[in-house]
Amino acid sequence: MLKIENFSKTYKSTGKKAVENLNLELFPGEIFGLLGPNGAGKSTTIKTVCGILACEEGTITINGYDLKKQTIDAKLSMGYVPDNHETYDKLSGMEYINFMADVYGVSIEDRKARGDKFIKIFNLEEAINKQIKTYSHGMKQKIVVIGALIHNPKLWILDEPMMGLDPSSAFELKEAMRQHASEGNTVCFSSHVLEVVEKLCDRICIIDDGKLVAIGKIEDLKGNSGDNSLEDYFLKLTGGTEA
Amino acid sequence: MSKYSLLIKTLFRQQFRLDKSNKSSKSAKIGVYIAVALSGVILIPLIGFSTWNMATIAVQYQLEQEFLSIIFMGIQVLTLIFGTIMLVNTMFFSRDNEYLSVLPIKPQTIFFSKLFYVIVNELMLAGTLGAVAVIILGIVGKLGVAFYILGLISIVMSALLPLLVSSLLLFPLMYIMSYIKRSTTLSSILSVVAFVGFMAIYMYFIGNMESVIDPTDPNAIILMIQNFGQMLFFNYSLAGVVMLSEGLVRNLLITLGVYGIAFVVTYFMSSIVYKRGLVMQSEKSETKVKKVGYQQISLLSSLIKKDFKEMKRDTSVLFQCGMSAIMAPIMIALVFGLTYKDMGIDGEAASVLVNTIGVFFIIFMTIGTNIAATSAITRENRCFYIMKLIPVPYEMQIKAKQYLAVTIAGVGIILGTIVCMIFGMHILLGICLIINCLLLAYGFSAFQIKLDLDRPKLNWDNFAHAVKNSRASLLTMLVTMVVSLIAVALSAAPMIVSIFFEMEIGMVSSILISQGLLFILAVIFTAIMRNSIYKKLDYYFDKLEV
Repeated sequence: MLKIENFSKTYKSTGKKAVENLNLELFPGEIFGLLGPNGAGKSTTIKTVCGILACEEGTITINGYDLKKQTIDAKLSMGYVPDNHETYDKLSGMEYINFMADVYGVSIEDRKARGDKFIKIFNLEEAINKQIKTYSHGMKQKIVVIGALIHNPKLWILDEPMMGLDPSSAFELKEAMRQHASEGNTVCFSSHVLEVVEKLCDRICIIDDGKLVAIGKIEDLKGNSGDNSLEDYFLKLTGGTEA
Repeated sequence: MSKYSLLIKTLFRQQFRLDKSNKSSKSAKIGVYIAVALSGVILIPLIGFSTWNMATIAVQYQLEQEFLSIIFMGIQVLTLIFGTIMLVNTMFFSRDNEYLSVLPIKPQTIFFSKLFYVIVNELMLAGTLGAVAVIILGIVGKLGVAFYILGLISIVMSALLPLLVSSLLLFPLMYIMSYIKRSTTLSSILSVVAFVGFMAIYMYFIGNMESVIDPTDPNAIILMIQNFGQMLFFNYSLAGVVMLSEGLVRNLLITLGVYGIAFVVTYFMSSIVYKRGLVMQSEKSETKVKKVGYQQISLLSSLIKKDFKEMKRDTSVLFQCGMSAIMAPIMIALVFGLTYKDMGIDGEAASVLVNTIGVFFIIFMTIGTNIAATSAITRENRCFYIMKLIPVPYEMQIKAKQYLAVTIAGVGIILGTIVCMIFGMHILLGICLIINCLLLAYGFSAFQIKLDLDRPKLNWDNFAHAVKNSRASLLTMLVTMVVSLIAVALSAAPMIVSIFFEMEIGMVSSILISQGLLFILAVIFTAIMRNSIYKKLDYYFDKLEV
């Protein structure tokens, strides 16, 4: 589903090496958690996989498509939810959904079926014809999620998705992630909330200072290290810095 | 006082601090400073030369006080034109307002810190030109050190007065705007009406001034200096203080009175209503949008529609981007309608002027000021990442941007040409000009978008600040000026050839030759520009790391 091989990333403007020789493979039907301290390289990795940052070193394959050579096909098969929820806020929710559906080539029948389903799940019926700029933080997150799922992507990537969400919105989002993975798709997200990662993820990886330091099932990782919680394991591995 | 200095320091740091880690940002800012300095080098001697002659006459007839009063008026007109726009954007439409309004700082402290920031910005142009004029008057009149010290202080004072008055007028205006801002179209129309009204008054004033002055008659100039110099009593009094003229106490009292009242009233008004104004502007307002269902349109149409909706639902963006479409025909009508009429130009002379000057205006004012093209990428702001995320080739995304920009310029081109035709432009020239200008607008849009794509501003809080003095806008204006001058030369060439070689070239042949040449030029320009952006799109997008 997603294969990252020998990926390294250096920012041209600052010359800082953000990720170094990263190798990773994600499989169909799993929820994968990306952990790491602030500035570890999680967002850089996610943004590169999504095509927002250029991939100069290494290979990234999404659903069999090489991101560098088959960029459009690779992008068509994934959906992305950014950490800041920045979107076209002068549009109404429905206009945004229509725009994203046009962009991903979703038929009118499919966009209606998926759109109605998600609008109902996320309780956006009242707000859907209002401008996004009037939405609350959680509502913005939800509309961006609908935009990312409108084409039913095989790979769904979320950057810090739980940040700033109220408990009910967080619950709805977690349910949507579980549902998407249960349909044979892959969900990959980065998070600072270790409890959420522990409950939701099938596998995780920990990145520290741009390097992969651990990967596997949570139970296996904890068992091998002898730690009781993911938090203890994480803190030990990253030198005590917070996630 | 410490809060004032803290706020002022922060505002200037935001504007001038170079991002040392980002080489392109550093070189871009240095480039803008060099361009501004070069413009100054060209502009200052020009101003100096024309001021010298007037100053000589003023000194000869002992009209120094009147002449100084006119200098103050000039500073005030410049400050009023450019400063009011900046004042509105800085005071009321800046995104830092919400943040500042919750800080433990008095509203009048925020107000006056921002006012200081605006005045320093405005003094860079108006103050520099004013200082040149004051220094020249000092040299010509062999005036003492006191004149230079008081003169320079008075430049700051004269720039301050229109900003204080504008602020006072803005308080109630912003209240009205905050109530009608649910309708972007209505507030944009109001902005345009206010701007056009102001320009009409200005043009009328200039037209009348030119019609009453015969430059060959020294008495007319003396009369003009006398009349204009004494027109505004507060400027005349301020000039009297600077010149230490007779009636110094009276002049000093008038000056202190006028400035004191303006300052005190603004101070109290700002303490009472500015915070409320800020809060009202920060309140989330909902622009009514049409209820839509699921709709499917082509990809290109969807991209254009999204961009257009984002533009038309933001007053500031709509005003800036729509300016070229609306302002060009209005300005052409004002120039031909007021100025030339007052100068007594009509008949064949008017037709020749419209056929040449009209060509210049249409190209320069519609294409040269097409912010929709020069801000195509900047407009995306923090949503730029979506351009890189979506599975749409960059070529198609840029094409959508080009089509929107050309459509906006096209409205201005067609309306501007119709206005020119009303004032006597030959119909054939008008039709040819529309075709050529649309072609040029397409070529220029590629050039403008390329410049913006090379160094866009993607983290702005205030659109007007983001596009003000942008590299793309400045370079576009320079290049369109050259192209429009070439177009004017081509328009006039057959006429000159016919006179020089004593050949008979009819109007129709003349138009076909000149516009045919312009068409070839436009095709070559468009092909080169289109090629230069589309060939390197991946490079430009890849280097933008957000």
